[in-house]
Parts: sequence; C-alpha cells; structure tokens
Amino acid sequence: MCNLVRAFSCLIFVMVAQAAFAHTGDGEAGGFASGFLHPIFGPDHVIAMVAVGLWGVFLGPPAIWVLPIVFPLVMAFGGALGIAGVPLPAVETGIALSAVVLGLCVTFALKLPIWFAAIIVGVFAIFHGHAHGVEMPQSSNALSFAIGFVVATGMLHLCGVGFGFLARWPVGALVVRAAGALIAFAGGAYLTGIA
Amino acid sequence: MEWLLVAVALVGGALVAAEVKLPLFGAVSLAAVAGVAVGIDASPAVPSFGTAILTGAATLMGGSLVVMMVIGLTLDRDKSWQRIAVRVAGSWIVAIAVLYLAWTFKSVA
Repeated sequence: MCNLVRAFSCLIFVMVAQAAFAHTGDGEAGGFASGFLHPIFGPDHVIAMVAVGLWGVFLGPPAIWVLPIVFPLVMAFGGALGIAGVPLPAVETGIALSAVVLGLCVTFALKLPIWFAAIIVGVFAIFHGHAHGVEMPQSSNALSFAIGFVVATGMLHLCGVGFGFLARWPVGALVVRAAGALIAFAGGAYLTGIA
Repeated sequence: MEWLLVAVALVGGALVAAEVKLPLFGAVSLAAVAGVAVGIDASPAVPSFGTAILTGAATLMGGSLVVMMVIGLTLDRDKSWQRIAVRVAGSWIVAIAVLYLAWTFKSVA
C-alpha cells in the first residue's frame, strides 16, 4: 500500500512538473549555438566551405592553410556589410556560383597561383558573409554568435582539408575530384533554382 | 568597454595571423590596453571596498593564468602545423572581432 502511494505520488509529481527554464537557449548559450548552426544548416554554404578546404589540398602548401584563413576573414568583412545594412546584389546567386566554381576547381584539380586562388575564394566569401550578417538574429549575444559562426566555418574548412587528404592516394584523388563534381552539380542546382 | 577589448583582440589577432613581431614597446602597450579593458569590463556591479579587492584579485589571477597558459601553448610549437594553427586562431579572432564590432556599432548608431 505504502509503495503504491509513493508510486502514485511520483506519477502525479511527474505529470504536474513544469519544464525547467535553467537553460532556455537564450543569451550566451543561444548565441553560440545559433551562430554555430547558422552555416551548418545552409547546405549551399556547407558545400562551398568544404570545397575551399578540398581545393586547398590540391593546391598544396601554403594554400592549404592560407585559403581557410582568407575565407573567414573576408567572410567577416561581408558579414559586417550585411549587419550594417549595406546592400549587395545577387547574394544567393553569388553563393550558388561559389559552389559551382570551387567545385569545378576541385574536379579539375586546378593549380592556380595562390594570390589568384585567394582572390576567388575571397570574392565568394563576401557573399557568404553578407548572407549570414543580414540573417544574424537580433536577440542573440553578438560575441557568442560571432564565435560560434566563425568556429563552425573553420570546422567546415577543416572537414574539407581532412577529406582532401585522401588525394594522397590515386584512388583517393579520384574520390575527392568526384566530390568536387558533386559540389559543382549541387551548386548548379541552387543556381538554376532546382534545389 | 567590451568594444575596446574586442578592438585589442582584433589588432592582436591580425598581428598573429600575419606573424608580425612587434617591438617590445608595442607589445607591452597592446598588453597594457588589453589589461585596462579587461579590468574595466570586470568592475563589480555593486561597488564597495571588499568586492573591489576581491574582484580585482580574481581578475588579476584569472587573467594572468589565462595569458600564461596561452603563452605556454604558443611557445611550445615544435611542429610546423602548430605554427599554422596559431596563425589560423589569430585569423579566427580577427573575424570574430570584425563581426562583433560591426554589430556593436550598428546597435549604437
């Protein structure tokens, strides 16, 4: 009988319990999570950032680390333009085009001078940054959002670099180049409005 | 004064990313500005002598520890990828600072 009362009491307490509001996802935590997930939940952003890492591997040192440095830096500049409300034409087209161009660079293992590769990556990074800057949520903590956003972007580049290391082997190089073709194809789908 | 702290981070991160070695006077000046900005940012909400001493001591110890740990990690770079990792971290700090400052100035304007 006593156990039954205890069990019943527990059941009643469980049923009437309200949700805990200790970690609502607002403020610092919400800002970081929001910033971290922002690039990851945009497939068009993801494929372009991964492509930067893949292309860096094909270009070899120092491009392998210069490109992932250039992209977040210029992207932050584009983000600042977006936050400031400076209009940029054809942002979505620029993002889709970045996936096509960078994907093709990986597919053909294009060896360009590093300064030229950095310009290509930098120009496209402005479009990516602007899109994120415009969509930056007003309620989030700005510093936490920025940290999450930049860290996620860097991680996506690292994923590309890590996957790109498969190119050390002949079969791996084919796989990486096929991934580049897939990225270019996906970018084309975004560009033409299919996706 | 959070913006001042972030502005110092921007300058410091850019120097790290570009692997620029400042003269001692420049490095000390930058560190001093960063220290003042941290101190102002960490000032107690309810000012009293006791809390000021406690907060000051905690900021001094915490700040010194963090700086020493980062210096230790940065100096211990015997592999080339570690040098690159430090430069990448510098560039990320610059990117974060640019976004934050843009956001702050937009909020003020």
